[in-house]
Amino acid sequence: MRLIKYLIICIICVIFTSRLNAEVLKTATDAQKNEIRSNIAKVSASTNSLECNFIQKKVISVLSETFVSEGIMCFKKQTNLRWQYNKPYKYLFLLSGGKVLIKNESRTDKFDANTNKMFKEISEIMIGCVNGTMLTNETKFSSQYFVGQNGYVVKMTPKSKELKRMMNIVSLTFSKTDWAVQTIEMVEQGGDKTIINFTTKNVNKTISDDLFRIN
Amino acid sequence: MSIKRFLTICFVSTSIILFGLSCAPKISQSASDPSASAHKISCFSFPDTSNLRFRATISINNVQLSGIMISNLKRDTVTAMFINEFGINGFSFKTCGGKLKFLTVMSKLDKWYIKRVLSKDLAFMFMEARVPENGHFFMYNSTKFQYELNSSGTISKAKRIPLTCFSKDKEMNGILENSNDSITFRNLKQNITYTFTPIK
Repeated sequence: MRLIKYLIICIICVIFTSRLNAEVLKTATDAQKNEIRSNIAKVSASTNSLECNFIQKKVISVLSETFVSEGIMCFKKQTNLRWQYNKPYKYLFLLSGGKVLIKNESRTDKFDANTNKMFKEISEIMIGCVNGTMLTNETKFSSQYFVGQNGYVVKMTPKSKELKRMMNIVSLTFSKTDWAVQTIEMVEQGGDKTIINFTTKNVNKTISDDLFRIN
Repeated sequence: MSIKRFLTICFVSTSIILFGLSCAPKISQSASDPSASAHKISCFSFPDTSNLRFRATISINNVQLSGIMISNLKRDTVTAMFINEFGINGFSFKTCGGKLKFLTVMSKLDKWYIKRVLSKDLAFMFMEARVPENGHFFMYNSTKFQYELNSSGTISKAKRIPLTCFSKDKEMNGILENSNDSITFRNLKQNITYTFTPIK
């Protein structure tokens, strides 16, 4: 009897603590949805450049692993993006003028983003996530809007088969104060997920064009 | 006369096939025979509790896939996952005793001929083979592996040589080199190079 009592207490504790940890999300009303969309559009229009650090966590269930990498992201209107990993490996993804440069420790590759369908989609998603314009891309994603304690969450489900194979759902969390993207969470079919947190944001700071140069 | 000839051809061809089939299992058995084994060898030194993390590249002719390979060893089974730098899954697999099973494969790689080559190469690189003390080669899956060990007991160099009865090509088709900095395996037949550099 004592053992059963102990087990029941344990189960109640586990349920209670997991509820405390999980952020409660409320479905946004139509008015809130319009407010979120218009504010994000305003911020996106007024953001000419953005520089921030990011921490990326990849959760792999089959290996009970959370792989953490860090880097710097720079964005400059209209479609210049520098996505650079510094820890624990060096890797650079550069998008500028419809061209893509990928550089790792051993080699550098250049592609024309428009001739490579996969790179075109990845580029659009990355820029769309950073400046929030992905919310308006209703041909590729269906969106659900939520209001959380820490921010507004938009959960996006891909419509195309290709994207569905890569990710089940993409969640963007926007700050309640500055309406900028705080977190990107990509959940895959098997339940593994990638969470990218943006920190130390510099909005409209002067960023040299050299950082986006693809020779 | 023609029936006799037909029966003779049938008998000879059946004998050849049966002889061929009987050779391959014998080779496999010699590798998995526990009485002949003294210790286990592998290309990687797996930690007991944590996962092994590598910066990984797979180069096929002039195309390169780069990412992170994370793996662990539990009992005799290695579980591993290859993800790209952005965290997108490339493929994951389990391998044990020279056999490999893919758990997930990204759509671009999900072709039988790609998986066939990858599974043979990865099964070799992530194997845990039982070998006799002071041995220099072992055999399984109709393949001969000639190896050298380094001071820590992991494989420093290995050659993969096909050993099937019907194989015309009996020359080395793969070579593995393990330096302090990285582990490289070259599939000479398909011209694929796998490089693993430990992430510290």
